[in-house]
Amino acid sequence: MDINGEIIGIIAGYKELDPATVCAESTFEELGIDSLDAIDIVYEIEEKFGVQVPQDALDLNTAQRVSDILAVVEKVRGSNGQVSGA
Amino acid sequence: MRRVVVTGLGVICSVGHDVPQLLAALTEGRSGTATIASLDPSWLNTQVGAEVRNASFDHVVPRPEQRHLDRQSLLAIHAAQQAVDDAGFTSAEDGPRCGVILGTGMGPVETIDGAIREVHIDKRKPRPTTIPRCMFNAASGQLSIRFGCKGPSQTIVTACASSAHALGQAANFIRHGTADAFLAGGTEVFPTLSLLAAWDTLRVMSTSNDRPEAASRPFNRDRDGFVMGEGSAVLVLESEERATARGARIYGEIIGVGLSSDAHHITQPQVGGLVQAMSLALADAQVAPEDVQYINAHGTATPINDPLETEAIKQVYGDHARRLMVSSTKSAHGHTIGAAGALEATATLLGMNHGFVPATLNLTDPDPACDLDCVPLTPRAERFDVAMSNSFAFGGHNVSLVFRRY
Repeated sequence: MDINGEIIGIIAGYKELDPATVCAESTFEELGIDSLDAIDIVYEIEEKFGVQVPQDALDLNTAQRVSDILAVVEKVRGSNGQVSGA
Repeated sequence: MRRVVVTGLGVICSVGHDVPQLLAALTEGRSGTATIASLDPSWLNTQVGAEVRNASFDHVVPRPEQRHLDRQSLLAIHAAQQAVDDAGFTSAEDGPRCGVILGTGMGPVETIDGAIREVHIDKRKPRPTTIPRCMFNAASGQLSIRFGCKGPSQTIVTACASSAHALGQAANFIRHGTADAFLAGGTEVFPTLSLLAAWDTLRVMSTSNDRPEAASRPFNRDRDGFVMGEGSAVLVLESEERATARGARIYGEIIGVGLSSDAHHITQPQVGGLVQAMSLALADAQVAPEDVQYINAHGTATPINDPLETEAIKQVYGDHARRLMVSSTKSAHGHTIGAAGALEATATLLGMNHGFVPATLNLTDPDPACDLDCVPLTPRAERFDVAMSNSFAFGGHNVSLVFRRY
């Protein structure tokens, strides 16, 4: 499974949703993800892949879609080096 | 001053996950104490406790959302939802006039303990939900959000008097017109292993491990300490006008609040502070000692509390003390610390409404220093109209509340 698929799996697991119902274009509102959920999901992604998402890399007050999380993980993968958890 | 009535009850504790189950346990004289199951107590002196077992919170909080809540908030929401349903309470019309006051003793300890473990043992960052879960005010905030209470919202932390303080504070706010309705009560989780071990070294809990259901023996000669409990009790308090305007059922009235501090010692109670709280509560209620028929005692079953409380009752009530019925329902539901005052207020109101005086279980051999009518072993089918409930705490905090049939 690619990284994006795994992240979508983490998000779906967090909200106890069928992963098939979650895609990059899903909005947080559709998935029932509030700002605290989003921060907690990013924490799970950090733990899973051994990466650090800097505080200024993702504004959870303006992030609205799964794609916003995917994009920031993609970005930090570049700067953090090899992703280990895949 | 305005009158304050109780219109809704909700509980979760070792002897019942709702009010009908608590009522059944009280009328049957059943104890909720058992060998501790949520952690391994085998290396401790005390191996018995009154835990909430097999509770599900999925009906009140969707499971993914439970990640944001410590167990103490889940217990409080579980109890509050019952109380709200029972009362038919809604804040839709007057949210800014509705508030929340909860008490807790040791707080959201599972989350705090978990964060310590994550950082110091697992060497990981704690979860971002740690702070929203482990704020002592989290449960009050959760109730305010869920039930639309936009008025005063607080958490009171005074150990074993926390939720008695919460009820007293809410009642006084209503009396003085600060707000018209409150969800008021307390919540307490069973201690984590580190805190249970700390209680253990303090030598205040029963070590009657071979007969758990008889471990809590208030006023008995061979009592050997309290039984640690767990739970939440939330009451709906309203001004008489608000309750009667909507035709609410009324369980009783809170007519007196007595508050004092021993100003003496952090763990050692003093008779003067107890006397002061009870006397102030009677004066506040504008009733004579002779008007009171039942006292739900603090009655922890520690060697020191029970004779001291007996002596204080005698000083306050004089000759009438001999005619009072005095019982400790901690013998059934254990000592729920920050939830104790509200849980025992609920037990008192259930007795008042169902025509019985709750028993002191396991009182087979009364201590001569505890020589009042302590309603031994079985509940008594007797009507009472005015009752006092006592809560005394480490820190020297004392609260006495007076309830009257409405």
